[in-house]
This record gives sequence, structure tokens and C-alpha cells, in this order.
Amino acid sequence: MKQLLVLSLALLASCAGARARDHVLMPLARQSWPDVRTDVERGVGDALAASEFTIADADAAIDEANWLEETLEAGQRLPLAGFDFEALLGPLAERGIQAQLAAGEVGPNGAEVLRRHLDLFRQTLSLIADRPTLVGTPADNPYVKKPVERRLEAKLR
Amino acid sequence: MIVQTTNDLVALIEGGLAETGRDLESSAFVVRQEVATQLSLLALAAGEPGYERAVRVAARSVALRAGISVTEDADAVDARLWGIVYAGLFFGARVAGGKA
Repeated sequence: MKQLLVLSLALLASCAGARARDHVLMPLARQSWPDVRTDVERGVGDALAASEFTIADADAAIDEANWLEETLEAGQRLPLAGFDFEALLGPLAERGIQAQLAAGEVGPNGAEVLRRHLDLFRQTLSLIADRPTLVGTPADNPYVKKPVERRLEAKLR
Repeated sequence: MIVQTTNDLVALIEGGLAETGRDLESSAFVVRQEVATQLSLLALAAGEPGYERAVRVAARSVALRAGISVTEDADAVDARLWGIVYAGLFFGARVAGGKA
């Protein structure tokens, strides 16, 4: 009986969590993304200008940004479980903010506002990605594909 | 100045949401804290380049925490509240920063 109660509570908690992720966090991430994307694109441009990125690297970053945008638009929580924002897009967004600051397009305090917004997006994304299903892990989640795998598949198609 | 503007802005948001039977998405404390922090930063940013973009991004952070939709297809109430948040931050920060 006690086990059943514990299981019911776990189920309830997971349902509430999923609801919060779909109805609160997903719209939050979706609506805060456009400003983050602006910074990501600026970061890509800056990396290209500094010859640290090739055109292929820039394409890969934009592909990843497009994939994230499509996933957020579609409200798909599951694929985000295996997505590592910090692998590419997070540092690019930071670089974009820094580039705007260096170019005098935004002041130091304005840049702090942009960083806070990026942090909000980061936190939201990590909350969405946290424990997406009651069973299963990102590793055995068939929906999860790394960007490099997706690009490879696209090339093979 | 910032405390007064923060209180006024949060009261306006709460009032606007209440008209449609909604509450703040986060607690009033969280929203108030976010408004106060953004106003403090924007008061310093007033007069810096990129002030308008900073206000837009700050307003989006506040609105999203309050549960106001900021998409183009937002309903009339959310669109009005978005305008209030944006204008409140834009002018409130300028006044607080002595750049009015």
C-alpha cells in the first residue's frame, strides 16, 4: 500500500512536471529564443571575421540554431533532453554579446541585460531537458540525435 | 525612485492579468525582483548605445516571468501589458538614471 502511494505521488509529480514544462517552460524558452538567436548569429559573424570559424563551421552553428528553433516551435520536449546548448550555441551567444559590446553597439550595462536574458534561456532549457520522461534516459531516447548525426544523415539522404 | 516604479509596474501587471482572471506566472516577489534588477541596470544603461534593444530584452524577461505572452499573435490583454512593461522600463529607467 505504501509502495503504491509512493508510486502514485511519483506519477503525479512527474505529470505536474511535464505539464509545467509544456505549458510554462516551453513557451518561455520559445519566446526568449529570438533575442538569444540574435546574439548567437552575432557570435557566428564575429568568429568568421576573426577567421576562427570556416564557412562550414558557421553553417553547422546556424543549422543547430535552426534545429533548436524548430524544436521549440514544435514544442518537442523529448529531443531537448540530449541537446547540449553549451557545446556550441551558448558560447556563441556570449561571444555575440561581447562582440556587440566591443563594437560599441551596446554599453556595459546593456550587455549585462543581454547576459541575464541568456541566463534565463539557459535555465529554462535545462529545466525543460531535465527528466523528460518517467522512464528512459537521454541515451536510449530514439528522438535524440546529436547535431553531427543529423548533419551526417542529411548528407546521406 | 526604482522601488516606486517597480511597485507601480508590478501593480499594473497584476491588475492587467487580474482582468482576465490570471495571476502572475512566477511569484510577485520574483517578478518584483526582476523588475527592480532590470530597472537598476537600465538606469545605468540609459544614454549608452543599444539602450532600446536592452530595454526590449529586459521587458521580455520581465513579461515572460510574469506570464505575459510576447509573441506577435499575443491576445489584446497581453499586447497591452507588454506595452506597459516596455514603456514602464524605458521611461522609468531613464528617469531613475537622470536621463529623462
